[in-house]
Amino acid sequence: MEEADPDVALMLAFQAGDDSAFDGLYHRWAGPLLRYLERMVGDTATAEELLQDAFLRVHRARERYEPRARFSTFLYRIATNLALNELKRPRRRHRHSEENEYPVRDGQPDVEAQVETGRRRATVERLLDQLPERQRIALWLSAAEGHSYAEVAQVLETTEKSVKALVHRGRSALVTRMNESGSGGIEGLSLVAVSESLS
Amino acid sequence: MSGGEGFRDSSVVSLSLAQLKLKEAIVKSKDESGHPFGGAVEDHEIDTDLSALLDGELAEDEAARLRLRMTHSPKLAERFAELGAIDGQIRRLGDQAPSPARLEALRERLQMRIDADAAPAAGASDPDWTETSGTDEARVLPLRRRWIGPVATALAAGLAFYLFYTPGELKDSPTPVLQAAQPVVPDEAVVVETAPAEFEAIVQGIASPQDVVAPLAPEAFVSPEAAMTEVALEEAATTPMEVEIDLEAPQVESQLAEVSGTSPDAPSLLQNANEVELAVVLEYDVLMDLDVIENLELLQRLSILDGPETL
Repeated sequence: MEEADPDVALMLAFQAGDDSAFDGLYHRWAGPLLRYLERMVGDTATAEELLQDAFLRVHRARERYEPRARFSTFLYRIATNLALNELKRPRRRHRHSEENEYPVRDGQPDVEAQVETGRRRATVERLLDQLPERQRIALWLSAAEGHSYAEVAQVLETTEKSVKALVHRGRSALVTRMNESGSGGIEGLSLVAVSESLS
Repeated sequence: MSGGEGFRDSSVVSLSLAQLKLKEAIVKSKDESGHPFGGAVEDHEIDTDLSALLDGELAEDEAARLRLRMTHSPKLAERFAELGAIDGQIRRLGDQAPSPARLEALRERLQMRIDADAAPAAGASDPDWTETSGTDEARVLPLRRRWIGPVATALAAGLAFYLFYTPGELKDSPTPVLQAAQPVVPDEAVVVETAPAEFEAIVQGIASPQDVVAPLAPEAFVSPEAAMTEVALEEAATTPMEVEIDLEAPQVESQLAEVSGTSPDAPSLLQNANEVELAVVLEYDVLMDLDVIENLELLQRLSILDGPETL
């Protein structure tokens, strides 16, 4: 596992007393994890808090850590538990930090296209937020983060078959709702590209 | 052939007929819907396979079969394109990386929490937070435990002082009633033994606590100890064997406020107070800040909650 996953090597180095290894893990994973948590809890400040909680738990697990899976699986499992716990709380939810909005950039020629792209992305975000939590997690981890079904199954503590079904249902629901939303269909839909990929 | 076997045979025939009808209905629904990959069940299965193909999770032979099928079915290919396009949009959402400055600020905050975490954890074993999903509740309890011990100790010390400590200034008090009240003890026999005759007369001759309080002039209450004397007198007149202090009694609060600085006479009182009195006053203020004095019942509940059995 250590050879296959450099993050596991970093974690083991941290366990052996190399504090800079923890820094390495943070810089490698803080960005993707923050994005993931924002997607899960829908609130920037809460996501930041949970990010710190997750890394604090990694820090505390220093002595007990055993490389049974990829480090990212270990980290995302902690973060997912924290996020699911947070979502159980009755709390007002905010949506999107400023960084997550889609501003039109001055100086770029096709302003209309930018606006349209931003609008479509906002629609995808909104529809993604409406998916059931586990579908959202499974879909995000596989589609956006590139985790395998086996890894997502470990994060969600379920089977690969369940993950496969969750991902499918999530995608299918998104496609249907995008088509129903009147947002002009799905951005990037290209039959030519599909036929090229099939040939 | 028994009658039972005959029945079984006829049921088999009925089942077969039902299966045939079902099959016909499925074929008919496929034709009517014109769906490229059949009815609802098959639709769902193929859609799932298309998702798996997008994620590279299909076995090679399955993937090849599905690709071949798509070359013959434009609608199937369109569905694959739709699913793939959604994937692309989700991926683009994930491409919006947080700024390095923001991550660095968060790293600094994390380091502060790690440092704070390391200090109290040095002498205690750390519970396993990593694998639990109930982390929020668990996070609250240790924090509460950090202050509950000192607060409970301070509260107990304050109460003990008010109950049993009698400062020297009472001995010099010109008011006979206060002199009589100086030995604040619940036992009537002791009171009679140590108190002058005026006090004995009051205790034995008056039935209600209000009657005891009534003769006391307002200026007689010059310190919290005097207020506690009043409480003791009430108890002596009603239940001599039990002394319970109601800290919310207005007289007590007014006297404590007087000593703690809200009264015009406070500076001189504080000047004359000894170290123990000052400590009690300060503790009282601290406890008031924490809303403990007003929530004694809550404090008790917290103490119960923080017991080791709940962890």
